[in-house]
Amino acid sequence: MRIPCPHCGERDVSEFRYGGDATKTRPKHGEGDLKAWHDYYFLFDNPKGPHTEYWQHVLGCRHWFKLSRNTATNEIGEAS
Amino acid sequence: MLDRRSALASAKPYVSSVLQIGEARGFSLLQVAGPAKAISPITGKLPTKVGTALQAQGRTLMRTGETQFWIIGSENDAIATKLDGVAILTPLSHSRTRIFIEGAPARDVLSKGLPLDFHPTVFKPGMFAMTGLHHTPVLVHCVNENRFEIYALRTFALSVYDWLTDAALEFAE
Ligand SMILES: [Zn+2]
Repeated sequence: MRIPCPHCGERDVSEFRYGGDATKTRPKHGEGDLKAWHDYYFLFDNPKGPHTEYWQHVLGCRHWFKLSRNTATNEIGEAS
Repeated sequence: MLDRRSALASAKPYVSSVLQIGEARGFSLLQVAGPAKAISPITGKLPTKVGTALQAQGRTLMRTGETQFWIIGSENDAIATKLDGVAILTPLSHSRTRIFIEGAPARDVLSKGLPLDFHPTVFKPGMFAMTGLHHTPVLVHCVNENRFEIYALRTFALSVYDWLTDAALEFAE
């Protein structure tokens, strides 16, 4: 699997680490009840197909970015 | 004056008639973060893109981030004093060990562990990459066709050296 780092260009997946679901919205500080925070932290969807995720080029430039990836086929789309 | 101690003092020498692996000592490394237009009047023209180093005033300049650069100079380089107040400076000379590998089989050895395309038409002299070897970050610089310099974290330097010499056993004597 090859991932396009917005800074370094296309590189091998072994240089990256997955950083979680990028479609979730974090409750605002001081807002939301315990359930809202619980759901944000502990409940995850497990989509099959197109997905938007956080990735970090951890062994490269250490940049964090959003990546679209198809979880069924590993087809890689846009990075931003 | 205090002597700089090598992290590879206990390393087993690698002997081969076609390939040399060892430590390239005697350099300074400064990480500079700030706008290129403030830094370049002092350092000379900075690279606009990542992956290709430039030479200026006897130093090697690399772009390692959006607004972050590596300046590699001679051991007693005083560039940091000139950049003080201009950019954010992180002296890294003591945090990295520079390991060289030179010879015709160098590209074959590096290909065994680094996830990069080492074909001579792709990874050319002057180019560099921030990548990983055995889960530790390294910067690999192609100095000329058959010579590469690896900037490894000092505490991982012996591990990186051992990995390299192990991967190069087939060319050893
Ligand atoms: Zn990167």
